[in-house]
Amino acid sequence: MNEPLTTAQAIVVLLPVVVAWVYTVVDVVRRPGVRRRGRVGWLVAVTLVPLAMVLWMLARPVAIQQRVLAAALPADDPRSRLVDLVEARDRGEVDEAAYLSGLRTVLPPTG
Amino acid sequence: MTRQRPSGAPAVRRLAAFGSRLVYRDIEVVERGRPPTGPVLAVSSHFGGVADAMLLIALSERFPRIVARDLIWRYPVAGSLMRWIGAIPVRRRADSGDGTARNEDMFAACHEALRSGDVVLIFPEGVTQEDPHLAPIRTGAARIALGARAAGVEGIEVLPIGVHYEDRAAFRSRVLVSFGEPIPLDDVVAQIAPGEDVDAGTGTGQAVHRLTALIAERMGRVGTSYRDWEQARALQLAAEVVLREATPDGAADPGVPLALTQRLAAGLADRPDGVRAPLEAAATTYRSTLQELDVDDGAVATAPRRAFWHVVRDAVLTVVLLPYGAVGVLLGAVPYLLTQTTRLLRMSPPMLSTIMPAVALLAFLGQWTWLTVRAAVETSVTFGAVVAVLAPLCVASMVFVAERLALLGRASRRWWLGRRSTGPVVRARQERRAVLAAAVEALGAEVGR
Repeated sequence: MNEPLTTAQAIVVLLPVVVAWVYTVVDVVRRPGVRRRGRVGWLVAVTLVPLAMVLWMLARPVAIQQRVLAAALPADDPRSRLVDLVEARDRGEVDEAAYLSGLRTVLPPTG
Repeated sequence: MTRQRPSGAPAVRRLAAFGSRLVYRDIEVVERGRPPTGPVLAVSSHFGGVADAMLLIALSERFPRIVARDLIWRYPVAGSLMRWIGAIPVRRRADSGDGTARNEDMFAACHEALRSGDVVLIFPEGVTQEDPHLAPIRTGAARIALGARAAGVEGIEVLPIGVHYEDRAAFRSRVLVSFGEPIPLDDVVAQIAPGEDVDAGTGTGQAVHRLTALIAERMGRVGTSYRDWEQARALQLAAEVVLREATPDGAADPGVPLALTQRLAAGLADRPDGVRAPLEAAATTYRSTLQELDVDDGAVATAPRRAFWHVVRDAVLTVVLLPYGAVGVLLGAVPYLLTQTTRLLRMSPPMLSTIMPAVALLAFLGQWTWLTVRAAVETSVTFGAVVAVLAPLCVASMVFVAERLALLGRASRRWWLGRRSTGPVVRARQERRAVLAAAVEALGAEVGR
């Protein structure tokens, strides 16, 4: 461990640290639930001391729900339309003709 | 109204979020109503043991006070953990030995939590379920809610939750958490007729039974309801086939969301026997052929729907991350193998769904802590910090590379299968068409005749 790193070794080690630092900075700036003064403090800390990145990962507010909800399908996705249509028909909210017509628009012919 | 978070809440919530991300490849969340802001009695299905609690702690807006069997408090570490997170022990008749269950303390603790505006989470089926349908709902949830209302707590909402696992004993599988429409308890209480028995203490009151029935009905809307696992797998595969056919060409993500698969499969399960039985038979046959070929439905679907540039992007990222992924293999091999060995244990799937996340959490966190401390002690604190950052990055790279290689493998397999014109591949395509036709028939229409 006391020998100096070669350039290639330094790149291999430093590159992910830089990537982690960029990710951490963006996370500190964007994550909800942190006060402005706290954000500034964390930004200074993660920039000056690498250990602070680990502390941030452990101490940051949890925002799992926002991330998974953000990945929801758009409303006009044909798969969503199909399921909505089937459920609406089961609840008696669409008539048979509209149902069949709707199915034809989202499913290919089976014959 | 003063909300008091249990002392262990922040740390356990973080641990639960980490564990959920570690154990599940995809966590889908569906919310059918606005998230309640006042006192909430969350009532959840219970197919996954501790995994259910872990997911709901991670996903809930507010840390829930979990109502759990008092047996857990008798174990040294688990008992301390339960006290730390402010869980509320409930005594079951089956556990008491004398056939009685005195739960005054549990009711009082739940009422106090609701008075403070907290979320109380209860699994009203009582225990983790083996079968893929809701067990009869017990009266405890309704008694807690009505008892708290009688004690003067206003604005309580009962929030039904359904947790569905693609494979509850598998590491890195998919899970769906559906939050239903909240039931405002004040509306339920307003409908109680004058003179109606509302005795929440004994569970014999008419209002208790009516609210229990309402909770069961709302949980049914967000829960699964299949006859058995064979039917569940057949109808989920049929729903996947139909939804894949409706997937737009060139879609960024060729996978079928679990939420849509579950909703369509639930619709198919409600079809009359005359059309559902042939569909189940066709899907079961097709599933056997897929297992014989060791592929999933996406590989047999004829049109290559995955956008070319997404394959290229995945391939480039995989090559870039390969060196870190290789280090990740060295670092993560032991925790991964330890997690996978849980599948070899002779336990029921509900028990495995409890053991597997616990082993994964302990193994990966233990390995990370050991590496960090060792690097810090043997070299310097700064190097320990670098190892602490790099080790999980390398393990995450390993997971990314492994899952992208699997995707690329499936894409190449699909390409190879697309060129086969004999043998089981042709049979699989014919069976897939039969499943699609039967599913469309079951949905009540033949399309495009």
